[in-house]
Amino acid sequence: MSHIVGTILSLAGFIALCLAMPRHQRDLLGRALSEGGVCALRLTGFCLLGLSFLQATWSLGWAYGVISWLGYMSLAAWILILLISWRTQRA
Amino acid sequence: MKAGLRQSMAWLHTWTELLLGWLLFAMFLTGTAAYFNDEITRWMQPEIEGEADPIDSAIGAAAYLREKAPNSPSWFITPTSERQVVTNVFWRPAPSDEGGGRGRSATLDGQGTEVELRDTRGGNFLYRFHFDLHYMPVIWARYLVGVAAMFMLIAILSGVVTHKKIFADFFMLRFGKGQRSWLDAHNVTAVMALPFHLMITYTGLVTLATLYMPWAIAANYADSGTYFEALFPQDAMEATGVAAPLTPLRPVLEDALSYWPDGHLGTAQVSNPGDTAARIMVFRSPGDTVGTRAERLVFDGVSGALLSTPPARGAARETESVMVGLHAGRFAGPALRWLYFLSGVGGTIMVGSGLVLWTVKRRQKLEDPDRPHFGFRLVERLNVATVAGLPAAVAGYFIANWLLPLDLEARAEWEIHCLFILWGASLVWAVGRPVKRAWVEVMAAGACLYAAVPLVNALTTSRHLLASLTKGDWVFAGFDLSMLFFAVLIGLAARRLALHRPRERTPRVRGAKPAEALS
Amino acid sequence: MARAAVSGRQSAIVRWLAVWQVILRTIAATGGNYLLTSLIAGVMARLLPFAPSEASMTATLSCFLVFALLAMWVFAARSVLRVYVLMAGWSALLGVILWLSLRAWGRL
Repeated sequence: MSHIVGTILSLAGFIALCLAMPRHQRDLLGRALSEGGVCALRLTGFCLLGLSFLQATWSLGWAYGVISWLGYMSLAAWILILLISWRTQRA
Repeated sequence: MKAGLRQSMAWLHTWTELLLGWLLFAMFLTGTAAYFNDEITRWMQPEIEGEADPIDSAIGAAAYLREKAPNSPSWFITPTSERQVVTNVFWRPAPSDEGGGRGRSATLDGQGTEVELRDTRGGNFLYRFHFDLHYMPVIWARYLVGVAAMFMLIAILSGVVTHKKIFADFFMLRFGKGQRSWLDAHNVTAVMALPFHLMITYTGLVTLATLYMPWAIAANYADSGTYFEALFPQDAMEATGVAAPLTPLRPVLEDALSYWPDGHLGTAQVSNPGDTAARIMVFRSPGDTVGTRAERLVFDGVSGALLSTPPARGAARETESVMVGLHAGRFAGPALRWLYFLSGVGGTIMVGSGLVLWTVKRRQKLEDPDRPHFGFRLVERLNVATVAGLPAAVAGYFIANWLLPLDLEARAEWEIHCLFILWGASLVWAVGRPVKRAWVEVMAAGACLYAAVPLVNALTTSRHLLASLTKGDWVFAGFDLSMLFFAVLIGLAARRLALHRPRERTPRVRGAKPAEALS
Repeated sequence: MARAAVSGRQSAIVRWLAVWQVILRTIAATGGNYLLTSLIAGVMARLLPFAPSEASMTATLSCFLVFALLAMWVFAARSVLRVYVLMAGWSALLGVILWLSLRAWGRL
């Protein structure tokens, strides 16, 4: 269960970071976001990644937590990359 | 020639990657598979199934050894566990025994009877190939692997310096765009698992650190044996020669388990069984803790009394234990093990795409891209044989396990020969065919081989995919499904490559514009 | 015509120098680097204020990072001469420290 929560948190964090980039805004949203929006997204993204780290270490202990967190980030990045390439292929 | 730090790092990155890229690819591939070492072995020995209690199987194994090797100086018993359905025993024969000092081993079932299993190295071969390679002295292989790992570390660190736009390129995977796609695949797999790659490379070096860098030990110890004795005290005693019956194992093992709340049993070592100086050393299962140098309890082999508990470890020693544990991932449960595996696959793709990128980048700069020079062609062909050929050869290893006759002499070795024969065949094929055709064909062959694995399983055993799915046998079902997954993945890649039409590039003919050259 | 020949020869010399640069740097980044890293590891193992086994272990664990960073420095440094002078200097210094320490306290 905590693996799923951790992966979802990482995925959400990566999505936020990804949307903070102009190129992805153009590809996925079709418009550019304001300076403030970008800043907020970036902050949210890093906070979510941090949250996923805290969640992992809190529920799994220090050693297991850190290594699991690395795994969540890999998995989340894989999912996101596949999502993005699927979206942009269709577009 | 050195225009700046970034440029020199880019140069270093490219060449370190190329020089040992093929070896690194093989190491990544087999190392990734080795995360499922036990499961692969189980799949490759379909004769045995079912579960057995670890304590019962250890007791059965001790009974077997008491009969088989009563005078042995030491027995090693690795009982069944969550991941393993057989008990492995190993013993050193008594000096008086025929055949001399080479250790013997046997595979037992949960009751301690020897089981007839097909002769195979199973997943263990892939695990050992990861750092011992094959067909060469182990020590040379380990140095070679160490050099490759060091190159990898340098390639990662210099890669970080090179990719200034590393985070801008994050999440950028553009399929079917020629060079861009390869660069993207390389960057994306590299960046997103960067912490994993750094961790796995560094901890990999640490696993064989004392071989590569013995000087820090030599600086303090005249004899490295003293150092290892300080770190791993042996506690074995000289045999007295006075016979005394070995204490029953069950109370000892139950004692050990009560010492580790929710712990599991690892290997048990019995030294001088049947002697007054008998000792029983019980190791905790490496699946219990991240650190790999498992905790150990020492019991008196005659009275069964607990003699010593694991000594407190220094910080450096604990760090080393955790680093090696992180590399091997033996502590990982199923979910985390799959994450390890996925990260490993990512690493394999990273190295492979880096190798391909090398040729893709250079092809455009060639004087005449249609007729490249020898070195370029060599790199190109070796890339096909390694990146497309090796995965196919591994599938061939699995198939050989099912198809080779069971009574074949040196059967286990022949399975391995099959892997290398297939790998060699893919190289011959790559040399003999136009390079793009070779890519498509070797990959297509690989996809067919992976698809054939569950098929051959269904034809030759009763443990086919449907049966294992209905029985809930997740080791077998998982293995077959993974094979099908890889078949689809490689097949799709081959199809993509076959359909890919490169954009018309303007040929670099000096003095003539393309249009004129054509007309 | 003549100018082309001269510049051709010049570019040949430049290429030749570049090749030598790479060879010399590669030697420094492998052999020289291993020597220096070993000495650093040895001196660390002697001088770190831990128990001998712990100090040896710490030195062994960290030497790979040292080696990688030194290798990167070798290729990034401005001139080959500088690389060789600094490497030889540090090796000599650390060698002397190690030798003195071994003479004074011996090994286990």
